[in-house]
Amino acid sequence: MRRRSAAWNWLAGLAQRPAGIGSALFILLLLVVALLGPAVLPRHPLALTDQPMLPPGGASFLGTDDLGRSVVAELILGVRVSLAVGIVAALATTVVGLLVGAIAGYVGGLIDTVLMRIAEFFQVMPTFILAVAIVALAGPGLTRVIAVIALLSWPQTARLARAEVLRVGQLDFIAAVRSLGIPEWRILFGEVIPNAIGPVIALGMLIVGYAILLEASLGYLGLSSPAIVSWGRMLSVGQRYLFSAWWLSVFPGLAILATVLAFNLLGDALADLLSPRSATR
Amino acid sequence: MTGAAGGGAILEVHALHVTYESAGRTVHAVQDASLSVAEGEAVGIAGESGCGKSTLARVLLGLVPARIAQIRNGRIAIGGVDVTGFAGRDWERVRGQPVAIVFQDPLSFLNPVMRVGDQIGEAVRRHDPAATVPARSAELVDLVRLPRSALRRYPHELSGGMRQRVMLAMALGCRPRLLVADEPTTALDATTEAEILTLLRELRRELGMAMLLISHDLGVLRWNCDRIYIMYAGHTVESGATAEVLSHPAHPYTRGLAAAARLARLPDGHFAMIGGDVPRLERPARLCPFLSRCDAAMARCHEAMPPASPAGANGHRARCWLVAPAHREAI
Repeated sequence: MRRRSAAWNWLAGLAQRPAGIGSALFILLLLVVALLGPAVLPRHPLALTDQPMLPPGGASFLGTDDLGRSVVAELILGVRVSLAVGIVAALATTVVGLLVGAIAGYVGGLIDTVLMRIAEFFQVMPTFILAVAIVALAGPGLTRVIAVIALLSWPQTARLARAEVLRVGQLDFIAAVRSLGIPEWRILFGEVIPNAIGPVIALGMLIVGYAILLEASLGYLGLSSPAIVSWGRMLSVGQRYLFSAWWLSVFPGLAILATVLAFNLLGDALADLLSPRSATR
Repeated sequence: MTGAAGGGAILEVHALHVTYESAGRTVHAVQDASLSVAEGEAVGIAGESGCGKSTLARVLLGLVPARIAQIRNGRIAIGGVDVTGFAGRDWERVRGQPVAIVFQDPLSFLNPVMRVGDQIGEAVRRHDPAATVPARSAELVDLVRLPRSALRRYPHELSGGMRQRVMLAMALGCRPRLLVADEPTTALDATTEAEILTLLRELRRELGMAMLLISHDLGVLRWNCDRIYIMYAGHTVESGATAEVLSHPAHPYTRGLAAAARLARLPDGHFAMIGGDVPRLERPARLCPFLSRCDAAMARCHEAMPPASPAGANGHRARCWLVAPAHREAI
């Protein structure tokens, strides 16, 4: 069988994994909702037009909250926050982790030792408690949440990237490229990292899910700005009415569950697909 | 055992000693190897697996991992420049230009996620800044007789012979004066092997570059090399014009090798082979490394290492007491 390209290969492989393709489609839907959602809503999502505490069904679809805002409109607005936090945090984590890990693994020696000790220093810190402490002290804000997540999760990515770079770095074709007189930094960025990046991308997907969950947890504890609608904040409000208005907690809860699950399943499918042991490579 | 060619040597190796150290164990992979390659000359290195020929090829370009490999003694000069003390970025001055290398297994030696054209282009961009990369790449695939469409393929889409041509195109993209070929056809079937060897011969003639061909196959070396070095346990034990060395071998090891290669029959009907085992390489040899397997060993062999001595016409030399002047005088 003649194959088109590496990207085509991955897509074809993903198509053979139902959980992977399903979660990829769901995430695509979330992205579309995040980009277009608020624009196509009939009115401003936070408008206080309906009666408060309407149960699901009828004109309000998923009911209204204690202030009379539509739950479905709030959910759609919350997608933006969750995806933005998740994706930006995972991107920052992956870039930092990949750079640190790749340099540590490729250069080795003292630089490797120093970078890995620094990574361990961050790895032993309890992420959630530290995140709560930082946000509680410095005040809420999405950038702060993203920064905390990136600061505390890059060591995991760095360790994986380092291991992959060590594996790829001793493959024969690296010696062949080196024999052409290509400078080492170009070998690292042009040859080693492209061959080592698969598992790192898969881990990045898991970090998206983790970051969304952490942001929701902070929101649930009331550590998010009341001015921003997020799923975690909706839960925090909803739990007060858990017995009188179940829809205020159940729908944001399901949204978090489905989104985190989708990123985890996609991460697993990609890990499976991009791992060096995978037969499709 | 310096070669016949005097002036204009692109490569000169003198009394090279290379060790690997790992987990507290030392392996003396190359112990006393000397060779030279003149500009435009084709030189072969023959020897069985583990004799140090691949280590020798890699040391020339600093491709052995610096953490475990060490040059203990000797000297390597490439184009008159002493590279023995090179470290790190120094090597970029000799890699590709003036010396390029092609390896045994072309699949594992090509980047699996990069198109062939990009890999060839990398060599061109590094060593041929004046050239337009796509044009020069196309020229290179023409040169190694590949279809232009191969440029857009990934290594796994090509056959073994085509991959070896790609490796060759990458090496030639550097415009080398010396091409080191480390068992370039061992992973290929016989037909493809013949094609690649023919191609190598034609390219050498067209481009006038020197070649150091490393192989365990005496037949391959006989038809492709002007001069040949026989390596055994890290030592160059015999050298000279290929035809002379292979038809009048002076060293007992070369004799055994040549007999085994032509499937010579012994009087009892068995095939000729060399008895015994290759010596362990944990300690450098103080005596002739072939001593334990040699059927011509004499008292002198147990006393000292034989020097390289003239053994025939055309600069034929062997490191054996049989041809050493001291021995001849004693007779």
